[in-house]
Amino acid sequence: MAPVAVGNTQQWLRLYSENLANSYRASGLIQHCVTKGETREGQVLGFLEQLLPKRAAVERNVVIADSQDVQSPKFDAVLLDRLYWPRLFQQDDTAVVMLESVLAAIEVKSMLNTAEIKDVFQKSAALRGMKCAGKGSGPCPPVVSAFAYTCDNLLLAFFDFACEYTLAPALSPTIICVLNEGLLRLCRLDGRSLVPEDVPSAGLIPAALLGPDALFVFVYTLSSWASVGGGSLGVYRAYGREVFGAATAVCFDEDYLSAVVKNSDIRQRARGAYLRPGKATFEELYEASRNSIGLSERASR
Amino acid sequence: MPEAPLSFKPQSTDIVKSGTVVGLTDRVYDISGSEVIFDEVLVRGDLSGDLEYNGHTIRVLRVDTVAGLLVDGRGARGPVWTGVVCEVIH
Repeated sequence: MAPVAVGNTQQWLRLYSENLANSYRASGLIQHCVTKGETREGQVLGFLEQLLPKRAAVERNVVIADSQDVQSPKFDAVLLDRLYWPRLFQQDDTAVVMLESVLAAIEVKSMLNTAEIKDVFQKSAALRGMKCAGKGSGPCPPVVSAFAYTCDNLLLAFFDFACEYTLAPALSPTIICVLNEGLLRLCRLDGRSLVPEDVPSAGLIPAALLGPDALFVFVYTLSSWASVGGGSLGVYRAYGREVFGAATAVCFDEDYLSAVVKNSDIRQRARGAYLRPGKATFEELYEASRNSIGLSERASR
Repeated sequence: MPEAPLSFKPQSTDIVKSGTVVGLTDRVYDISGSEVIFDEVLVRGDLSGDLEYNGHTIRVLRVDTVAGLLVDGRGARGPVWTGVVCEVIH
């Protein structure tokens, strides 16, 4: 019998991805914008509630407060440790929770574009700038993630993500998933490999994992945060060895990122190369962007 | 555009030789540069020659102390090498 190229779990996650994409298209017929947005949030958050470990609750419409009475913007959802921490306030569909009780914040976007990336970074900066009164259930301040149903230009989104991270590393979101297209994620370089890093800090590498298994890796990442090091991850990876065993990611060269964040003129010039991608590959667009700011020699990592 | 393998396997304390764990460090050490010094290695096999540690190839250069049995506040364990200086091959 020939070896199976795509395992069952990978297939299930790809089918979930198709279902979410179909639900997204179906909700597009709703004309009322707020209702449409809420429906789309509900679709993906409902899916996460079904699959993520129960150790963390997926709580929707959450404001996070710290002990100094500083409040975060409202997040579409958070992974919350409800086992050990009380809520501060709950009315109807909105909750206020303790900073230390949050394992991760989740934002849901219909389309990932420059404005939405800025919004995710602004919310992340607000949360990651808050002060913890003591040890939290996870990293404190908590990490931030985002999920987007679509993205017109993933390379441009990756460029914006990498620039925003480089400008304020510790305040950055950790991961942005674009359904069926890829993941933007912070990593560190370890030998010749990129290793996912959860807590944003200076010196990390923004990387893009491309392909149809973005949702699988996103669920894996959220599961790792929800299970708080419960030891199940190695086993989970075994169920997706086709995904986790052979994954590769692309990143920008260090000299390029240093150059583009120096001033906004250089950044806009570098960005211009990605605006009309046509049928060009990532590699071709990246080379064009490097050339546009006078970087021709590649200083490989 | 640079492309690299994405490793989801968490960092471990295993020192591996030919697929077998031959030592355990007292904690996970970050490797950057040409040398790493492990405070303590619990010896489980042959630590000579090329060894694998979290994706790096290392080689033991010298050892401060070799103890058959070490007893301290963390309990009794052995054999243990302390102050293990390793060259990072890559």
